[in-house]
Amino acid sequence: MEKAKISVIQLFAMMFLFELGSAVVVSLGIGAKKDAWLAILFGMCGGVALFFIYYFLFRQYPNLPFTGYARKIFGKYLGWSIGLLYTVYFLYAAARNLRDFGDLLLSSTMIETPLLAIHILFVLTICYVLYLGIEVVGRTAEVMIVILIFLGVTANLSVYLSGEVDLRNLQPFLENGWKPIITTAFPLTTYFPFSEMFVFTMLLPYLNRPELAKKVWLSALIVSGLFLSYTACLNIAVLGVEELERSIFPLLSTIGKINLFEFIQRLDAIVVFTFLITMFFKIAIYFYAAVIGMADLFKVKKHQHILFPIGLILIFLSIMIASDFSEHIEEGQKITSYFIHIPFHIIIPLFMLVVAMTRNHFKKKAN
Amino acid sequence: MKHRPFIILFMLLSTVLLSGCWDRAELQDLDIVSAIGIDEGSDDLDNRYHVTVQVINEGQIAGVQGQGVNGNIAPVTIYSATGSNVEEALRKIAPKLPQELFYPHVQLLVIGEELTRKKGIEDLFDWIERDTRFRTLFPVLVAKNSTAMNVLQIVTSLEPIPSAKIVGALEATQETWGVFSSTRADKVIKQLSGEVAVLTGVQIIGPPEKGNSMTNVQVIDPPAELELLGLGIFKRGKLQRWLVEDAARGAMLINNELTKTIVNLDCEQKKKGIAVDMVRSKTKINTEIKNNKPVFYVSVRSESHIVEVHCPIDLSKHDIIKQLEKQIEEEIKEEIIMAIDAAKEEKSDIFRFGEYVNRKDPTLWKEIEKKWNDEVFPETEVNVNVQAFIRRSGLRTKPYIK
Repeated sequence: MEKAKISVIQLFAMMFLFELGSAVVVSLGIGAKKDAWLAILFGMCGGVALFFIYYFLFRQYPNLPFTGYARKIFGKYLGWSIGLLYTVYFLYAAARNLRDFGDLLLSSTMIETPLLAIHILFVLTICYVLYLGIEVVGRTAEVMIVILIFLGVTANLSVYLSGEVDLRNLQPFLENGWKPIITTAFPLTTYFPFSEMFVFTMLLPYLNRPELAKKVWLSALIVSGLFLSYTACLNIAVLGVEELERSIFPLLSTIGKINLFEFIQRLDAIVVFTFLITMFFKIAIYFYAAVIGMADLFKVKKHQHILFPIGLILIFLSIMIASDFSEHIEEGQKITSYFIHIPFHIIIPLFMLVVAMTRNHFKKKAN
Repeated sequence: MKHRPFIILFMLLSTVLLSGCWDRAELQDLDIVSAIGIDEGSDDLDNRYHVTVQVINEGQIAGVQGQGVNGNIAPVTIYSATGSNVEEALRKIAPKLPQELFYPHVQLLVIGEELTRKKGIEDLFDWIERDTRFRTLFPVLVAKNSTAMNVLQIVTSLEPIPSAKIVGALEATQETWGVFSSTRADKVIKQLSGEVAVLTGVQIIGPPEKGNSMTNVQVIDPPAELELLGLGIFKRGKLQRWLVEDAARGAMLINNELTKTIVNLDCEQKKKGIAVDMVRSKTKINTEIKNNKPVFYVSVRSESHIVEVHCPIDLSKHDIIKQLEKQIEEEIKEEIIMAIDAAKEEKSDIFRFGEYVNRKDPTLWKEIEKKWNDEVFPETEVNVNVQAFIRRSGLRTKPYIK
């Protein structure tokens, strides 16, 4: 662990940008059709429930990252291997998001650019920021969230003024009953993006006021949940649910409809910027979690030493995980949600919770 | 600071590498496409579609003002090719061109009527959505009684680029006469993903071969002109019939797209002797479910003022205005019923009434969705209720004739 402190606002900004990363541009919760926004809100509730598991563990060991207290709870060897599993998972998640980023950028704006070129440049930038440390990431997030709000307000105003919003597209409410909403919310929207905030268990020890961790986490979760739900509403209202289902980058289509006075149009750059900023933090935070996790497990003094080699692995992994975009998305929906998110976000933390509680119990008895 | 030289070198290299863009295209290497036309090809395999592009002749358009442009060179040129699909045909045009085609500025898409009647256009527009080079905000029109290629080769007066002229005409019509909607590509795609679509038509008046020459605009009355006409009703991608004049206006009214138009009224001595300018109208559609069947209530509220009178009538009297309001109500009602009847005859719900049913009663809609257009909609009861107001009579009360 490096010696760094991040402020409450910085952590909030990082969490918010992290949550919006890729979730804000893809058709989130589309399985629930017109009620996607509700599925997202339910997913958010699932995220809040999971948070209390993570928070309990954090309260037990406020000075250690997740990989650190895994060893305290499970003992030296088992804890170490679980920590290793998690660092690999973080790296894999970073690679997945990097691939999301590259593929969406390529299919929307830069068709002829090779994927590798985008990935290398992006990872280089991220490596540079992480080389300077988590404090710099936090400060960048603080600046970027302001830019993002400005972009969001501009885009929203233009969409409304263009008269493209047709709220009738959202009706009827509960067209297909509750079932599709529930099945989309649990597990899909709960995991992506709300329980992904699990990665912040690696960053919480850096918070300068640990007593506020709960407030920051929950407020970031709820604000981003509301924001994503609102974006889903806007997409459905502008595009209609059929077009939303067809498009891989719906926010781009929504913004593409802006036409103010035959003059202000083609504001695609706003979406691409939003996408770029949010993905930058999402990948950077996953990557950082992987790097400090490794530094912690292998007792590397400075995480900077292993940053670039792991960056290379990240690039390699992001290219290797899928041969085409459809495979990549299918993998995300069918495999990672069930075989990675469920054990890594629920089962193992729950198990740790139980073990930690029993340990506490015996400790008290011994005293 | 032993790294300093390296950092400076790195920064210098970066400026070289970052300034470029991988997918760049230089302006002088591009031919800007202003319109695309799609016609039926000769067979159904290798030459399924005959695609025409209208390319802007930049030098002619960007003539310095005052110097004028060379009247002997056409402002646009068309090229065409055939292919199994639109993208192939567009690529096959390349050998005929000096530069690469550039699509983001496409203003118009025209479809030949023959294609819409025979092969249908249900599956035709995927490329517009999928290919990032196209924007979905341009109108799609049908070349009535003609091919798209013919429409695109008419030299137009006043506006040198024909597609710009058509798009301008669409906007102007909507603001003054209001009979045709501007059928934007994304909305057309949305409609086609259902069963029924409505597209505006454009037709050539006069012999098309005379339009294909600069002589067409060298006279005051051009022999060949382009005109917007009619709303085509499409079912499963095939053109069924054209709605023109009153029925078309009725359809626009139901869809709440009409902004401004002229309505003719009768006075005692003369049929259609009074012209009323309708400046505002709003349509509301309510649905009720009776005995498991939807019933629609279309209510229109319009405001207008009188602009022309051909008979002696005292417009300063409220009673007379009231009578005229009644007439407008009847006239509008008639037009709306004409449009509804035409749609029912074609078994095509061009007003998207189905969505209202879905909003009102999703379970009923799921039952009838499959047979909605063919069985349920033609039998459905639609009640029309019009409220018309004549607010003022212009600058005169009585006309000068006695």
